[in-house]
Amino acid sequence: MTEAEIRLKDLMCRGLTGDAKAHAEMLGGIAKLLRAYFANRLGAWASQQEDLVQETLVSIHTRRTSYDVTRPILPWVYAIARYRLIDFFRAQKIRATVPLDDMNEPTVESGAQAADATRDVSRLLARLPEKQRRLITLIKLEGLSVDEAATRLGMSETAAKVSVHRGLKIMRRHVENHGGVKVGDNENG
Amino acid sequence: MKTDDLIKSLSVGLEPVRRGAVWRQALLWLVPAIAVAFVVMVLTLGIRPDLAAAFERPVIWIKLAFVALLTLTALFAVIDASQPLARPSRGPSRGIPSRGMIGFAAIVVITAILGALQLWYADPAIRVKTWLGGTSAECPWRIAILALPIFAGAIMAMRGFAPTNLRLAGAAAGLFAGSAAAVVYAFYCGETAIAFMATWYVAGILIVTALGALLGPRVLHW
Repeated sequence: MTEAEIRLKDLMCRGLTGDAKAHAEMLGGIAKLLRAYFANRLGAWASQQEDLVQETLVSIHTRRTSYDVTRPILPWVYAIARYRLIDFFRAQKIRATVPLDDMNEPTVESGAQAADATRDVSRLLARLPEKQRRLITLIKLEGLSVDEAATRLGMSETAAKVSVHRGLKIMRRHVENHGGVKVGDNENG
Repeated sequence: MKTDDLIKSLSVGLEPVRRGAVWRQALLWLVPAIAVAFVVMVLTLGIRPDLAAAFERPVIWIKLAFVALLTLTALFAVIDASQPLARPSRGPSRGIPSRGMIGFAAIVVITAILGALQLWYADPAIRVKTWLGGTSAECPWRIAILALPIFAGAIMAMRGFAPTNLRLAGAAAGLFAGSAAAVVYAFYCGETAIAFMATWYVAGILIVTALGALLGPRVLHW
């Protein structure tokens, strides 16, 4: 456990005995962690960050009974944050399928969302090994055929196809795990 | 509202959390729920008329020990499943069975072995009849129905905690409800074979567990 985690756990334990000042200090410390946690995961919905932080703080406060003092505190905190984040994304999905009228008007927000999307894609691509990244960029973003891209990078067409498939799978899994794009029952938390 | 103000208002009038608060909170819901199931049984099936006499023989003690142990392990499963799971955001947490569920499975296996041994030493002509008893068709369903009020109580208890794997939590609630219902049912049931309860009681419990897993994501939201 890091120093910060030790300190938070101590504050939590004191808060559990009724020490309001320690409890407040703990919530403040957790709020900072939550801001970073959500900032990395909200993408286009960055404006909702503080709302989510507050919702999670309320959950942590009202459910502090469920914290097992014999276990580390940060996984507990982040598990709750993740639960609230997934809830949030599921709610957004539902709203997005409702009236099309809003979607037709060009707004500052849609421009920002497009910029965010580009940035997200670049960030996802950056996670891949260089050859795979160049391959996907050539084929998917610059419109080359698989054959042309494979030749340019000096690989066989089959190898290129396999590499693209794998690379897209990695990117998709990253989005699912960190961006809540997959909609389903919350059985996985 | 600014977050700092929120934190201040949350901390005002902070109540201490007593040790074992989770268990106390859980039992506050579960004990009355079990009482309700007991009343339902008394009103519908009735307690077995030879109860006093039955206590003089070992069978009912074995039965009660079996279902009581199942209930205890299932209670641990409920408490464990009420915690936010510690897996970081790395995809599905695959519903790791808790110590409670493992204990439950162990007791079922041991009892099944004992039941099989009992059948082994029985007269081959009546083995199947012993195993099926007279009520094998009804027993699982009766337990499942008696479990419903207990299941409701377990769900209410868990919604006050912080389960993050809702299917697992629902299954744990069902496991407990079925086991506790089996305890209640044991005060009516006149069957004697260990194999009978290892099969049909457990079948009833598993029906409720499956129901719990199905309903979990829908009813456990907090």
